[in-house]
Amino acid sequence: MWLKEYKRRLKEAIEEGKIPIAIERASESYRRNLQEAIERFPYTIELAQEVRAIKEEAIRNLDSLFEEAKRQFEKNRAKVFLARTSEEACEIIGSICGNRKVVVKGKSLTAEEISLREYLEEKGYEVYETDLGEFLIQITRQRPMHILSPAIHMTREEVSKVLSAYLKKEIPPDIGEEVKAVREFLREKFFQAEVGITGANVVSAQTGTLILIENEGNVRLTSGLPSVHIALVGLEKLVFSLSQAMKVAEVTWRFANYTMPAHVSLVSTPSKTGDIEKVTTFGAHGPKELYVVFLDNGRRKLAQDPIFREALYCLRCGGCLYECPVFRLVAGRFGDRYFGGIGAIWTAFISGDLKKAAPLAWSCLTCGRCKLRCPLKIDTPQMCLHLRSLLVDS
Amino acid sequence: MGLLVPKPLLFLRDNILKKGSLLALPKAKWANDLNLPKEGEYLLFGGCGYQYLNVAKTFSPIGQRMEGLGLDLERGLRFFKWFSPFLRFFLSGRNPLRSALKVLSEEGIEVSYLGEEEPCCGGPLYFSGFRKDFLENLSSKRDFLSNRKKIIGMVPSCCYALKELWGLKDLVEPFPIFWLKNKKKKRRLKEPLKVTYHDPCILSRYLGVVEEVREILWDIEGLTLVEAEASGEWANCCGGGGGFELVFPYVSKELAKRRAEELLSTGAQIIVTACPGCLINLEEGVKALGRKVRVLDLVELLEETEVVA
Repeated sequence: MWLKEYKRRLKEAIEEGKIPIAIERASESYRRNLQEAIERFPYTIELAQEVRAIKEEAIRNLDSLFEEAKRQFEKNRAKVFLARTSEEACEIIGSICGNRKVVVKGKSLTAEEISLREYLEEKGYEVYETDLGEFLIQITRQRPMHILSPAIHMTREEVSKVLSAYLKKEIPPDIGEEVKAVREFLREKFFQAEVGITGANVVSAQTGTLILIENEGNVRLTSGLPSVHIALVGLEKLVFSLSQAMKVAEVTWRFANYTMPAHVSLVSTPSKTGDIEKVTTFGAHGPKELYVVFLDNGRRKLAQDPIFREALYCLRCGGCLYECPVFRLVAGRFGDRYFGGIGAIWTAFISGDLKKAAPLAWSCLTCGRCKLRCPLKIDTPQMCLHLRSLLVDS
Repeated sequence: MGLLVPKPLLFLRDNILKKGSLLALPKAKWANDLNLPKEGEYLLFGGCGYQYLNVAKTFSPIGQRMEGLGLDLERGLRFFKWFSPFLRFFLSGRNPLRSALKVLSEEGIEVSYLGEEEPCCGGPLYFSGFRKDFLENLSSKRDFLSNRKKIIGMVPSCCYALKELWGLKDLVEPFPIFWLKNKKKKRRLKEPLKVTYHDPCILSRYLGVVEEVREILWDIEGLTLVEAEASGEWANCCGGGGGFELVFPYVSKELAKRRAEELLSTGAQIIVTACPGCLINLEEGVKALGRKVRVLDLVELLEETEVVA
């Protein structure tokens, strides 16, 4: 029973037949690009080993890292919250938004985890996703199919149809034209918006610094133009120092196939100036207020688990998904909020429950290619086997 | 227990716990006429996968087709149970284990075999999450280990279970490793062939056996090895792994087709692999593509070669 509906969806995806073509293209270029990137920056492999140790240490000390980050961000004149559940996180962010009605958003898997956009839209906010892929997902009312390329399953022809209908003018099936049309549309939204919401790829506790990695430039605009910047951050993103955080960031973007990202933002304080009489005044060209909302939602408990805590080391580079034979066939249908084998673990302990995770746990071939690709060598197949034994005992 | 456990896996578990094997059928029928000794320094560990190869090969496409037509596999399973007294007729026929014995004896290596007394390695219990059953099942079965110099593991997942989970480490050797260490004679194909090799997940990524198989193949006269783009430790899965083929037969067959396609694109005349699961799935994949290329186990390929005098 519990498996039937899931199996039906997988079969449907396979019969539809277009996912494999799109992902096959994406996987091939992922591998080619990554190989070139590693040849250009061969130290990345060693750096990844170092990052594994950094993450192990950070997850061991999650509580004290949070205390340190809170202290430092507050010194930086940011306001810090700790949300225990996704509901709490939504409420906190809703109350910060208050009567500011237009919100722009950067892509954030953590926001996806708590269904933040849906929550805000229900409360009457006008929310715009500003990442191109995420924007396409929003206007087609679908679920993202990949953590970094949410619209990985859509071809340029489909995008042209979708955009033409939404923008009410003819957009040709040309990728350049499509990008330009979305840029024009979103430009004014950035200026209208009073709140910008982003995630963060990694956070330095010692300095109170968010690191935001991106290619499109939308995150800089989202975090820079509106008068309020809210960052929603999973607790597992914390590491101790800024130099550690930069190492984590570099391994993340390299394996996320950015080679070098177009932009990396370090955000520590609200925008400020001391140009008149050396008096620090907040709210210069950028946001006047900075809020950091840390999300627990099961992370602190998971960090105590000797087997499954490894799932918290995940940098969300998405490399494993390109290697997963099942994902390559059915994309995000092998997943819930989080995808693939690692997604089974996150679904079980963070974004869902054992019941939601069950079909995913059995969908893992345990073939081991994800582990081979993972920069941190996270043993997802073994965790899936452990998850199965939890299901057996449940 | 087991509300969130797929029924086919519960079926296998019950078989292992009650009858000591995956399908609760006689294991040694393939070797009935061979009178193999039970004692000896070299023990061939056949494994359910090869011992039941012909049953599995007959019934796995049925499961896949049923799902493809939208029929309920769980009902099929009940049918299978009801049918099981007749299944023993499918136990004989082609069997790579016979090929293994033949090529080993050509090297002057005689092996022992436990026949019906061969214990189940428990691997399927472990891979299906029946961890407690696996551990309980483990302790009682170690008698057969005494006075053995090597256990030659034929099924990769049995090798993994015995080596890593039973903790037998060096005592157990996957066939390709044992063969490479012990063979002395040069072999050649009767006529030149282009061959591609599919790395089984457990053999390559779990046990690290990648180059050894290639050394065996390179050493055969007349054999040209053509590698698929995804090969070695990066080989794609055939779609059957960890019980997946039983829970998701339809998806499994799709994956098999895709892997078969990758392997066929090398232009090989024969696909070689070294795992009963891969053997079954790749054969189905090749068939589904409407191709006639043979899929052979490594030991079957060796059997087709002749010793160079």
